[in-house]
Amino acid sequence: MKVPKIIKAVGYIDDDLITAAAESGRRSRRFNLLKCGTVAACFAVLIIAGTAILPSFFKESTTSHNKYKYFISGEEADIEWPWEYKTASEKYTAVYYNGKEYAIKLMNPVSEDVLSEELGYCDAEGTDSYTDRKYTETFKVYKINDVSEEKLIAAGKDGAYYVYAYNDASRPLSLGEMMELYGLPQNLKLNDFTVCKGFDEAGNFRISDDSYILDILSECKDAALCDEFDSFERNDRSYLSFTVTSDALGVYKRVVCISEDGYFTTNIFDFSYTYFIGKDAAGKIIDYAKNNSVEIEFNPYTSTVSGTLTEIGDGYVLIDDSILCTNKEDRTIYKVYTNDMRIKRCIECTGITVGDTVAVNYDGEISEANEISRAYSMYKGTLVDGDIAIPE
Amino acid sequence: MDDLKIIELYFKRNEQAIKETDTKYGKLCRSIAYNILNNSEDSEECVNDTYVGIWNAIPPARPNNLMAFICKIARNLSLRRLEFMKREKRSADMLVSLEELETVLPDEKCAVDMSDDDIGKLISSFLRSQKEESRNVFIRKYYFFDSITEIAKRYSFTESKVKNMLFYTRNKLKDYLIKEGVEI
Repeated sequence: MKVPKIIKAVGYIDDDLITAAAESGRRSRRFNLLKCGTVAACFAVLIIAGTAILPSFFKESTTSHNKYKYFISGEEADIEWPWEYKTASEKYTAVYYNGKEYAIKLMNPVSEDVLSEELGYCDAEGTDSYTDRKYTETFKVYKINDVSEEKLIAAGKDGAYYVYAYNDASRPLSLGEMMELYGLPQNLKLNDFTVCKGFDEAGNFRISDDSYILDILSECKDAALCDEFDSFERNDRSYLSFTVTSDALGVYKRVVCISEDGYFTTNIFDFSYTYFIGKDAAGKIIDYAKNNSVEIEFNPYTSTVSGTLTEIGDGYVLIDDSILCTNKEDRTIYKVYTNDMRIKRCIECTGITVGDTVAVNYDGEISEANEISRAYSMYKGTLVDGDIAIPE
Repeated sequence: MDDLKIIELYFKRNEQAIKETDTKYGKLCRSIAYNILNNSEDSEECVNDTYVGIWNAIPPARPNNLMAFICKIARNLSLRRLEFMKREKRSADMLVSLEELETVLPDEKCAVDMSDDDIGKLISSFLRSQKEESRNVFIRKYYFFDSITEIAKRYSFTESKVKNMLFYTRNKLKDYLIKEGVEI
């Protein structure tokens, strides 16, 4: 293959630009425990650029803000898993359908409720990076409810289907075009939102019925695309930030923002799209949301429990959080099921053993019996109790 | 060790120079080589070739910026090796980077009298006119060939923000190169 001239030319950029970029971004970070007024010191927010792990005080917070004295700090390892330990979406990150390449949009399988008619079959290709062996599969392709197959398809086999997206450079020129292509009135749920001013947040809220908001947006079909980078600068802007999770669109906790000055912006299609819907429409949406909502607790992006791994059993592990507790008698022992390949491989491949301090990420809820059935990641961490430096 | 001292070791033809280079810049070299070649063995060979290249170049060269000097050698050698690699061994991320940047300036549209060095100078001028964060993200992607995920993590951005920044910077660069007569 021939390396393009422009790539070679980039190699001749000025030295100071290279060193500035080489040294940028990574710096020694410290994280702070932000004490929260009268609440004891242990209700804290850990801020680090990677992943700071809070134990599952969200579950506990209604009953025991003082439960934890310590926290676990760690980062999920960026591991290239052996082929046999990969999920189908990790093995086959691209599929070829109707002569076009579609890339995986969401690594988790989607609910069969979002599938409509069968569209045929596609080729899925993947390479085992350990052996360089190439694998091919034939996946069944489904149309996703109300979504154009030119943009998204669901593909997979054996009952596990994943959303794949065709990433062309073209962007919907109007909000109406985007809503139609992706079936947004049917596939978008705008129930949970955060009130924001610039980068500050002033509470999390939930509305039970978002149909009024979707109706207003449907009336803004001529809203034009704002075709400039960062046309939605958050500085000094007042807006609502809706959290969007949608199987049909292959998105997990992305956002749709509606600003008081009339803009709709979203990152649900990876590139950010901003449309000007007008102050009037935006005002109606914001007023409706504020007047018909109830305040809710902050919902973390990733749910985590942490503690000491005390037992590795057949299809489960036990995690005891007593090392984190102010009073040991407040401890909780979590039973984490390990049937999912993603959690099983953490135990089998990363050398985690009984006695390690670990954190577990999971989807869904913890049962009354402290059981976690949808864990997807486990990694070792370090016990911390305050303002300490995180090594790079 | 201070860069000046490392350079002095090269001038004295002291092999400790290579050890000190490896201690200080080995990780950086390996990351550039691995990002391009997607293979530990090839990357390690490339890093060794880089050290040989530095050893041969200094003296007579006395680089003002040793880090950039080393990066350039590692990048050039890795790209040269990439040209001879089999298709299936190449990194998908790397190929995407090549394709993305090639859309900015397809080879066949490049003015024939422009050298890589000349275009590099224009790209430098363009990058200096951009916001610092956009500039660094661009260089991380197309000079160091970091993945989107790595860049997002480095700057604590979302991946979509990184993609967006790259998308807009590429488009602006294309316009700039057309204006400067590089793309014909």
